[in-house]
Amino acid sequence: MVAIRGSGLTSLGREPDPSSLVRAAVDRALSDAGLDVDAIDALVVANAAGEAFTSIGNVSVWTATEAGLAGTPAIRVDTGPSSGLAAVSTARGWLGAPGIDNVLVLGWEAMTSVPTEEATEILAGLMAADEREAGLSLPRLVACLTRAYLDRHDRSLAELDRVAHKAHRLAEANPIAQFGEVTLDEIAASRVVADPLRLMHCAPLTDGAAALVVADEGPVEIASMGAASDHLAYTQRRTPPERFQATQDAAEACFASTETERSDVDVVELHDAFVSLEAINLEDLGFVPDGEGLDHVAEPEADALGPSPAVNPSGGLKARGHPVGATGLAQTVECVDQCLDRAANPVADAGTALVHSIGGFGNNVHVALLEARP
Amino acid sequence: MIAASRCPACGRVAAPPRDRCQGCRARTDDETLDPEGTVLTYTSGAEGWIALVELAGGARTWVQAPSEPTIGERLSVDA
Ligand SMILES: [Zn+2]
Repeated sequence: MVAIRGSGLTSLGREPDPSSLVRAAVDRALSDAGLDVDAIDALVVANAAGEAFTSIGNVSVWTATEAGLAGTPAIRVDTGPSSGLAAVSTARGWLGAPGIDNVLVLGWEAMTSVPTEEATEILAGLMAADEREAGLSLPRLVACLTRAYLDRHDRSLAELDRVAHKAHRLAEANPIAQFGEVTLDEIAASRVVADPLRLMHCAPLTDGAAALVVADEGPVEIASMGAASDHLAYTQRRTPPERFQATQDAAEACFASTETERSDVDVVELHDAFVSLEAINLEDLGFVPDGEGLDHVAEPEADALGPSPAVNPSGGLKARGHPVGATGLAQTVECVDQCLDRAANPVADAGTALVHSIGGFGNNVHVALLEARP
Repeated sequence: MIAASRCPACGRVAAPPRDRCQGCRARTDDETLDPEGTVLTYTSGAEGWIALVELAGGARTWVQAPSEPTIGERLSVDA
């Protein structure tokens, strides 16, 4: 068995000092695991763009040193915004090698120390060069995906506003979240970033760190994982323009190697860097038929957690925050908390959770299935 | 007409042309395509609009458009 023995997450928002982020996440994960730092045999660091955002070099060794793990084997994993979950996959593979019994997986990103325009430019490095040169950006690519989706399934922009509203409503109750509640009017009146997407449809720039101790025993099992990539450029793909094939493939791989079925999943933390992705991902993961995702996630009347499976009870990337290299781990920490009945917005009787993380525009997708041990 | 490539093994068409197929790595043949294609989706650019257009054989390319396009509209790469 591969399990999560302890987990910890910093507050998300503005704290651009990577040292304090790293130390806080490590302290929380070790304390939760009931371990001293000496018990850690190996470190996997998840970080997407530390060199560009902070000018820190040799991120693996820098992080090990800050974590009090100088001398410990350390690998840095970078798959862009899915680095956190890719790092879990790396730790899972490393565990069980001679002398490797406890692996610390530590993700961090400090994004707010550079101006927003510079941060956007850094993140555009995830794209194909010819698409950047054609005037595209990540928000413009997702705007294209979103328009194709709304058109194909005859859904409205107002429904996306309600997804954003729901995310902020859930984040309001989550003490580590970057944002709290906003009104539907504020969402609808926010500036257009890339038509039809408005600012309040997009996840923010976030500083934050998250950590897990991965071991062969623990209260939450990593029951299965799956991953897939896709062509780098949108123009190279031949799949429908409103779908992410890599999400479909990663989910198939994850469920193919376990007895657990989608109907067993109580909680999903999926990659809603833009609110339309909350619906599109839920469909690509196979939880609801194509075109019906918004019925599931666009603010149910009475209960913001909605029908089962509950989707992004943390507030999601959209409102909890999106520290890119740490995001997959922040999502995983939320799912661990749900499985152990200690989350800010608890899903009743949650014992099975799915994490979904995207590393670029519909690319390098990682999926993990977590199950509470009885 | 515009320059493109076609894969003899899997049929994949690409514009601009590629020496090797990005679907299966086979060597490709030269192809020319009608510059007019169908708008799959679009968004606003820094100036005007930018549309993802599908050409004959499934090749996809970006086209700048001075006014807002519509999905399904025919648009020319030369425009
Ligand atoms: Zn081919």
